[in-house]
Amino acid sequence: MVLPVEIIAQLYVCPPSLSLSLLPSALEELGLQDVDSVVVAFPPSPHSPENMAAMKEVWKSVEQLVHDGVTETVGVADLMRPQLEELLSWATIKPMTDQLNLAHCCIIPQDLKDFSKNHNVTLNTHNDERDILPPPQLQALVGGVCGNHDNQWGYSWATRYTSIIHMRGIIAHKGYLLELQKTQ
Amino acid sequence: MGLLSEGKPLTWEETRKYVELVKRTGALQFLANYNRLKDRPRDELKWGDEIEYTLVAVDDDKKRTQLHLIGPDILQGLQVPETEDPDNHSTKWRPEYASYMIEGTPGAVPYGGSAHHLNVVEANMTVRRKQLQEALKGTTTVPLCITAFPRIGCPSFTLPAYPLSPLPPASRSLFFPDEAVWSGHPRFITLTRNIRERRGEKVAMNVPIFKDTNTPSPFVEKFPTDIDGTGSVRAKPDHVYLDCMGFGMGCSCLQVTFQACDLPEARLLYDQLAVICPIMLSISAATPVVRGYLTDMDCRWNIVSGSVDDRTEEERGLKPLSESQFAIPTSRYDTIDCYISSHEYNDIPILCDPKIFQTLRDGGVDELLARHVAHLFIRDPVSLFEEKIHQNIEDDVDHFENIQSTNWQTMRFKPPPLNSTIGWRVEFRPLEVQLTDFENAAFVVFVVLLTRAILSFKLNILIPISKMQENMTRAQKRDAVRSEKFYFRKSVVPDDDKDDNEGAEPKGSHDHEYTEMSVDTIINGKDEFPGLIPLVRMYVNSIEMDVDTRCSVMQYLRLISKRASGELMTGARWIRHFLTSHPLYKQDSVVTEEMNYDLVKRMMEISEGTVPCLELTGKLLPKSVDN
Repeated sequence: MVLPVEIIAQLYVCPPSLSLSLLPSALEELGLQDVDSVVVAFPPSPHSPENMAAMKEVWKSVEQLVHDGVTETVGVADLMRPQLEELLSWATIKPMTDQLNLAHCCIIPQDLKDFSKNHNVTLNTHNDERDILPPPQLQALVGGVCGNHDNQWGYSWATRYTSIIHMRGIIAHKGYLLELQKTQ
Repeated sequence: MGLLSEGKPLTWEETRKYVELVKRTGALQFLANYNRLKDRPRDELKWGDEIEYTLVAVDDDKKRTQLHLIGPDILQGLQVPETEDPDNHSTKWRPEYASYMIEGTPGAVPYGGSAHHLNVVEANMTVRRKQLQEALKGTTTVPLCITAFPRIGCPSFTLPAYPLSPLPPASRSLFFPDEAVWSGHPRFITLTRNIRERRGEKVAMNVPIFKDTNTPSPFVEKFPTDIDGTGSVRAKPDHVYLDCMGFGMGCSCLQVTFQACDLPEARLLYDQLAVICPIMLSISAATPVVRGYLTDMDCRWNIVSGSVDDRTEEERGLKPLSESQFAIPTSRYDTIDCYISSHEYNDIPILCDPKIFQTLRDGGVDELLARHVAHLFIRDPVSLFEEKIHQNIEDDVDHFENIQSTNWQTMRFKPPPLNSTIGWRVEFRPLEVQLTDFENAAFVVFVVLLTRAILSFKLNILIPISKMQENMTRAQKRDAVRSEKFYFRKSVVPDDDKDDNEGAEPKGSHDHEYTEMSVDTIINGKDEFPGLIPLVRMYVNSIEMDVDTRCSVMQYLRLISKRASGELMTGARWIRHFLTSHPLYKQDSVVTEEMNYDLVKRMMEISEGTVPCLELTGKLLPKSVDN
């Protein structure tokens, strides 16, 4: 008997490229068919109508992942109360978690604490940089793999995935998935 | 401290008639249990801690503190929640060696694989402390988490005090009355007497004294009550002499037990954690004073080891073997002597009971595990109850547990109990207990997370067992955490292991795999070596954890990291500092009644959190919740 594995994928999206259509097949390629949770990290931006509109577009793709059975639940990362409240107001599928950078885990604003508690959003932690793969590193990495440093690359989304053996707290797999685009 | 069978205890003279029977039956009981459960399917992670509390009576008028022999009187009351609701209670209470001690553990449900449980440990420890305080209401006695009471063995150190003349019948100690031994169960006094009788004389421990500017040199004590004359013969100059089991087993410690997912994982964790034991002992060090003298050691370990050393003169190598079967290099309380997941790093001879080894091999136990068990069985039973002599092999495990639970080693490998859902477990036993719930939780959580990192990243930290044992000697020295170097493996992450052997080492040698490192390097990393804390952080960063748990865990890891770097003080260093800068201290290594009183009062403030101690814990933001 193998204990069930819990898979969490932390997804970093880079608008304007909002399509996540390649994500399911990429996960499947890695044998990660039954993802428990996809946590979406939006690019850091001030709380404005334009940014919320962009978030809404991304969220549609995220909800599609649930409809398509790619993931059981979804979460968000680094949202403070105003963004979280707005997202909850229109999201059909609500986030179960809000992952905050651990630099802040001992000093969570009280309004976010109260709000998340009342709306059954668990506050979790992560330790990723806001940009998990900044352009110079990405360039070096892709160039190294392709042996060609001439093209410029960007990612439309990046995912850090972890699978944990349930009830034993042991990390079975950990890795990264990216959708790359040539920018020039 | 082990198996508590009920009944009429036998003397050593009576017990020795049954030694062979107990050993043979015990080995067969292990074998039956092993064959029944060796392929037990995968279990979940479960874990729990154990803390031994010291009950200290405080007399503010006389500025005096004493060890209060009140444990047996409050035990039953503390156990009411457990008795009334066996399936749902938050704490468990058990007797310990001395009547001024009591052991507390989490309740009915152990902690598990959920990250959230890491945030319940500290709160549960606080619940235990409150329950004890409640039970002691109406007295001036407080529960303290101290490894050793500094004036243990000084005149009138117990409440009530007892005369030591004539010498106490069980221990014959010049310092420690038999009445201080737990009076609620006969096991403890029986062990005390039988260990002395088996050895053929009183135990003797000599702890090097801390030589201060006014300490007499040589330091030679005169014992006013040296009735049997042993004091003048066995006490070494420049040492603090101790002469009974109470000085060791009357110390307190902090233990962590894990349920592994299966037998191979239990064996792996037993081995890997054994290497960590000396390192964690040095970081947790809290015993710089004994019998009212500052010593040159910081830990209880060797004192406890000597206090239960039941080896005869022949076994200790002082006389040629005639009646004894083996010359045995160590006490039954010591480091482990053999790894059980791989023989590769077992580089010292392992004494075995040959008949038991063969029985186990014939019964299907592999060589490594058979050797481990047969090694435990070189020790005789020293506590036996008349009603328990004749036992069934299939339905009892008492004789196995008898030998197992009187092998007090750094790690303990525990087969599943009979008729239980509990799986294969390992117990981590070296830690000295810390003053505050925060510190104790930090040590426990660090060890738990380290096991997860070892299993997740497939770390290998094994070094030859002789080097681990050498580390144990170094770990106990004064301020070892800052001044000693320890053997440690250069490369602990499997992928880094490529540089093995450049042809210079003879085949089979592991000398190129390890080097000497400071505790700071081992814990925090340096240059190529990643360090255990960064590895644990890497693990923690990969798992889901709620913000409150994460906040606590960060603080726990910070404590271990800063203790290792020396930025924060160990308990031992802090006690030393408090006493040597006390206005009444005369630079003569002596800890007076009043100095000890002031120390205890300060310890009370720290452990109750009323006046925290920045040198010990740094600044805290507690977040622990209990549910």
